[in-house]
Amino acid sequence: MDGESGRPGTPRWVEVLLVLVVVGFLAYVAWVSLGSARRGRPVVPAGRPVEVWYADPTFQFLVPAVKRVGAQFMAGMPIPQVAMELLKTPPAGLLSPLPGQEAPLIMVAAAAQATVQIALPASVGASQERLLIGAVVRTLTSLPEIRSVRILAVDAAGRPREGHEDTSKPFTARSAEVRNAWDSPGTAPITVWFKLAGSRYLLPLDMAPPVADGPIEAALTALAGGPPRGVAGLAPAVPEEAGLRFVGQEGTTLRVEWTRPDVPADPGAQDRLITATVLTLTELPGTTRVRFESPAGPLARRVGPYDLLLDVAGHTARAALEIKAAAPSPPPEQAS
Amino acid sequence: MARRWWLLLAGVPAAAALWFAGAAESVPISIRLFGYDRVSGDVVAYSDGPLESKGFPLREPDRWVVDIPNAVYSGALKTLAAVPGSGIRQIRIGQFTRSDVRVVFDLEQAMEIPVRAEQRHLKTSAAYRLVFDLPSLRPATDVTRAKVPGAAAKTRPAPPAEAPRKVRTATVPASPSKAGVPADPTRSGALGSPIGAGGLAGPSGTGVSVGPSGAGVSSSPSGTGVSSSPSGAGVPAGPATEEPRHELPGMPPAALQPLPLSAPQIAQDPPSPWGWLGGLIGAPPAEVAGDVGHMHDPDGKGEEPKPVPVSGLKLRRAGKGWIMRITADKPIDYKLARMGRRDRIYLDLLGGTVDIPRESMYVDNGLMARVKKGAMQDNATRVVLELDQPLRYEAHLSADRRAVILALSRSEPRAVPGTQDDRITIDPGHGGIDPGTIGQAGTLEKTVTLAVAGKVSALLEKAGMDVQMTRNRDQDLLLWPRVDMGDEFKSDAFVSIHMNSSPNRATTGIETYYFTPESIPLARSIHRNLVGQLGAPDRGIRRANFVVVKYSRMPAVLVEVGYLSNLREEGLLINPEYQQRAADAIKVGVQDFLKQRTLARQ
Repeated sequence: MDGESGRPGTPRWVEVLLVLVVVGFLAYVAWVSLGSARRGRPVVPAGRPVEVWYADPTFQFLVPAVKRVGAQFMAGMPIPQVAMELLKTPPAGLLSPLPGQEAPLIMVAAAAQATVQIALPASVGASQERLLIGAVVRTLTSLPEIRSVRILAVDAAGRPREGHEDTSKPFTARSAEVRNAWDSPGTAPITVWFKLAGSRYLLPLDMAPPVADGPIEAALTALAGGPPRGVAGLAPAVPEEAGLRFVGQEGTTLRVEWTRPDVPADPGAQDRLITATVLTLTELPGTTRVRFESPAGPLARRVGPYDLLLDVAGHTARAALEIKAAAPSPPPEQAS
Repeated sequence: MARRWWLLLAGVPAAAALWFAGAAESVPISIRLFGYDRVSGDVVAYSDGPLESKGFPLREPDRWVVDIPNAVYSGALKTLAAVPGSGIRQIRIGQFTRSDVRVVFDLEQAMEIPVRAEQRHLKTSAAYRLVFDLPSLRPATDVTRAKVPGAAAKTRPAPPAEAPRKVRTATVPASPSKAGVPADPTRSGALGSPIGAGGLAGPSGTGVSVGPSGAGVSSSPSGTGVSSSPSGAGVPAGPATEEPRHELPGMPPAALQPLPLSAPQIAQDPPSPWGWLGGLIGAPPAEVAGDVGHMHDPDGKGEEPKPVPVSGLKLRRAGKGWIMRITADKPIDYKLARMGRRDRIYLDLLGGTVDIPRESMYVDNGLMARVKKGAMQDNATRVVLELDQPLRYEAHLSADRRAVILALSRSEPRAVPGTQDDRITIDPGHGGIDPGTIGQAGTLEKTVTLAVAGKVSALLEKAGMDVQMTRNRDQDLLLWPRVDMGDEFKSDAFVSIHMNSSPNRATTGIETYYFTPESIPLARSIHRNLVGQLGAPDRGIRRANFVVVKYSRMPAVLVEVGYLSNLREEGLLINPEYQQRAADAIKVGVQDFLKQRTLARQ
């Protein structure tokens, strides 16, 4: 029995060695992670972020969510088609505007313009059609390689058909037809990011600016004031009590004082405040970054997987819209 | 003996091998999938065995035909839409003979489509494929290549710019049916002009259309379809609608294809509201492949197309008056004059000719007795309208300058705007083979929109307004003809009535859409009244890119009265009382808008 453990056949020293190896590995992982975080190095997930636009549950608004696509998935098909495939699988709390399970088909993606074939059964209502086209256009134009999208609507058999929308001209991300907008005639609207009520998603809304000293102040006022009267389903992402205040501008960086950084208390709500503020302010022409300041000292926070210190660039905040969702497996190569 | 054994031993396997080889060759290879490759964008045909192919051109119209021998097509797709700017109108596949599959590329101009066979190293039933190499259909499989300035643009032509406005008048062969009897629907379908039950009657069941050789005119102000043609062989004509101005990207220019005619022609059909769609939407596949007679022609031999005149005269009822549309063969100018003593209107069309018969066409609609073509010099045509009574008339040229639109009315000049004689166009959404959305209980959107629109129309007429409905029965009507009807009627407001649908079946409420800023007061007025009257959730007033509100020249809105996808709201929407309340709200909304406008003008 010498040299034997309780279980016959496995020497005790082997068991001890295995335990030491496992413990050592775990310690190494913890050390690397903590060290990385301590040094403030961004911890960015692997894969390419793809911004996909879905519909909110009430089918009024387009809502962006960022999904990550692994290199293996991307190798199977062009990234625009990957984005269209992702439209089929909305994250929890959002809806796909697609009428069926057939992803829109990219027919041409060249010279910064994509031509997309969309199956549009006769039963699709005007609202769904509007959201469907909007989702396709916003998703594709969020890719740097595509600036405009031409829509070709077809019926179930692949024959061209006429829906409600005018698709004779290509759409861009700035096309009013593909944006969330609230009745704001006669005014140059500003884009403000609000929270989808009852969920963690943020979405932009083009609305008339409130009365304020300038566009930056107007945007901050709108952020804290919440969606316009009559808009159902949206909530402010920035509590008024947080006391965001524009204090100055350095180049393309706006300095915003967060008077009460303890409001909101919930870390998730704080993430949304930062993200919504950065996204709203970087919608203004000439602004690319926002610096949060506080009378109490420096601010250092993390939003999602990103380290957000004092300066937050618009594209970083946009990536913070990321959702935790596994990318679907690539569909087999086949004819549609 | 041993030699015989040898022969037997060698011969039996050889014969068996030959037999198997022969049998294998005689078993056709199945083409299982046909379509666009998601990766490369090429058109591909997948099969479970190696395929051969042979391509050759066909002319008039230009086609490239690829025959695939020893194959059967077991896929579902029969037609592929082409990419705009590719030079290909559409691509068809079908079983040509028992053992041959044929793929036909309908071309805008002659070109060759190379084909290559590929074997894919996949253990699937579609390990082989034919790839049809369409130069302009190659997508950016490598997206980085698209960034190279110039390079991509050279090899991949961008989709075409906005399609030009197209105007076409279609011609229906002589129908043996008497006046008021619907034309043979199969014939109209074959022409790519599926016209629903009720034949060719217009929105008010009235209308006159005259073809080049047409002597038959049907006209019935009361909508009864009484023939007044000398021969008595007239068919009631449909709405004098125009082809869609803009083709959807990738549309086959079928509207420009000549229609096969059969003489004698006695009436000119209104251009099919389906235009180039040629019955594509929802019609049976055998009739809908679309290209007015030869598109669905798998053998690629097609009938010899015959020329069809594109000019003519159409007359339809609109509100309290009539609208005459005279289309010439080229852009024209016009002069309009009235000869007082004999109550005649002379319309001289300068710079083009119109194919209408020289002899008189009896109209007898209570406003005018007849229309005839007078003598004029070359490149000019005089149309004479003999009136029954003094008329108010207005004329204007269509946007493409090929048609003069003459609005005729017996009504006196307008009184105070906003009270009397305002012209309203009510557009019941969808219709015919386009049912619109379908409720959970099976309610068709087209049915509810028509019911509500009819009630709105009645209420507005009762209030003294001149009301036109784009359709007053279950008929096919594309979007552009609806816009044109509103424009030609010189409407003060255009209201399109729709029912909504959402994948979230809990969604209910009212939405109102507009496009132009001038339409906002109308949208607000109608929306406010609808929400107040029906008590449904207010889903807002939104700007939308919908054709009927975008291109109308007058204030135009599209109202989504409720959600058919919600069972409770579907029950309300099919209730006549609820419909009446909705109609009343829309009517009050229109009246409020007109009053506001009058006040603003004052």
